[in-house]
Amino acid sequence: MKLAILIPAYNEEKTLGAVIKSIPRRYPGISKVEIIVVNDGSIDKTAKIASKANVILIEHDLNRGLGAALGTGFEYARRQKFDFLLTFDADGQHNPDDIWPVLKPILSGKVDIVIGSRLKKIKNMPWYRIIGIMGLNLITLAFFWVWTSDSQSGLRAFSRKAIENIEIKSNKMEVSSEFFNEIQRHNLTLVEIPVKSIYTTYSLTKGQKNSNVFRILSKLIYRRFFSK
Amino acid sequence: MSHWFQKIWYQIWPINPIEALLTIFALFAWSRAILKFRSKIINQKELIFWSFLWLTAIIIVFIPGKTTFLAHLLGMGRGFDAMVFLAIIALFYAVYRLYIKSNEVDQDITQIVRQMALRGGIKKSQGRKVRKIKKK
Repeated sequence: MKLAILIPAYNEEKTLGAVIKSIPRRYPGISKVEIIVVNDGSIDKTAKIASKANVILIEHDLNRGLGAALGTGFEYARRQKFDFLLTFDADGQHNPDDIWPVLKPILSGKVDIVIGSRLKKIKNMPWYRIIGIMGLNLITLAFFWVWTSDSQSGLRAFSRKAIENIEIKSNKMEVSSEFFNEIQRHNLTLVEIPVKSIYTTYSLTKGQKNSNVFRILSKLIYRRFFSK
Repeated sequence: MSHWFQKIWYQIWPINPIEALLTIFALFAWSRAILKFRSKIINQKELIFWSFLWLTAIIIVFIPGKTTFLAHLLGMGRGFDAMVFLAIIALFYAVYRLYIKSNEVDQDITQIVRQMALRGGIKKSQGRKVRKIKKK
């Protein structure tokens, strides 16, 4: 059983090294763990830091956004026939101790996708973040008929079936909602596990802004109704 | 028609200014087609097509009451209203096409970047040694 831990990184020199180091490499029932860093055209030392660590580094020549980086990671996992895939944010907002609880349901083989939901334990999340995420959850419900408490979480685990079926077309942050389109399309089973998010002033400058909602909305409308 | 400019204009050239403008534009476009034909960018068939198109446009410009006819078809009072209405619809459609096109181009660029990354860019790094994984 091969596990890929996918870290999409764009200009994350400050946190990437520590994040890679903090991720445990051994899990029960998994023979091989590979950390894959997709460097999405960073202009800082992200690539250098990743190449010094013990990881597989995939480099985009141009910055294409989170969705594109995840898509590349999925494509690599498909080609290399990984059995499980876990996505982990490079900004250090996830607790490495949450990896195992998120991974466990996938290993049991009954679930296709596990989402580490940050909103099941709301503690220390800024209120404006909560509003933004709730808004996107409602949009996700309206568009894809899947209810989730945290559609924007970066900590997710995927089974082989999910890796094979999920086709990511979004380039930027709207990818988070796109996963639900794929869940609905391929009838994948979804489970949410509460995780803690570590919000630092650094990780808050990264990720989604509430004003992004309009862009995401327009892209989702396009994706849902107009794209081939 | 009481404006002084129009009065002078009608002395010089007894057609509507907007008709004149459209005619000049059509003639200009037609001349471009002819130039393209001369420099062999388009062939004879295309030249005939464009000539036909622009000459009909000029003829249509001088048919009186056509916009009013259009307006009545759409259930509107004035011909000008109908023209603005149709123009806005045409613009919306153009924007919609552009939006779809730009999304497609965006996805194409991502595909290119992705294939390039997966073909040559993968490095399996171990400590300080960096060795390339063989190409797939």
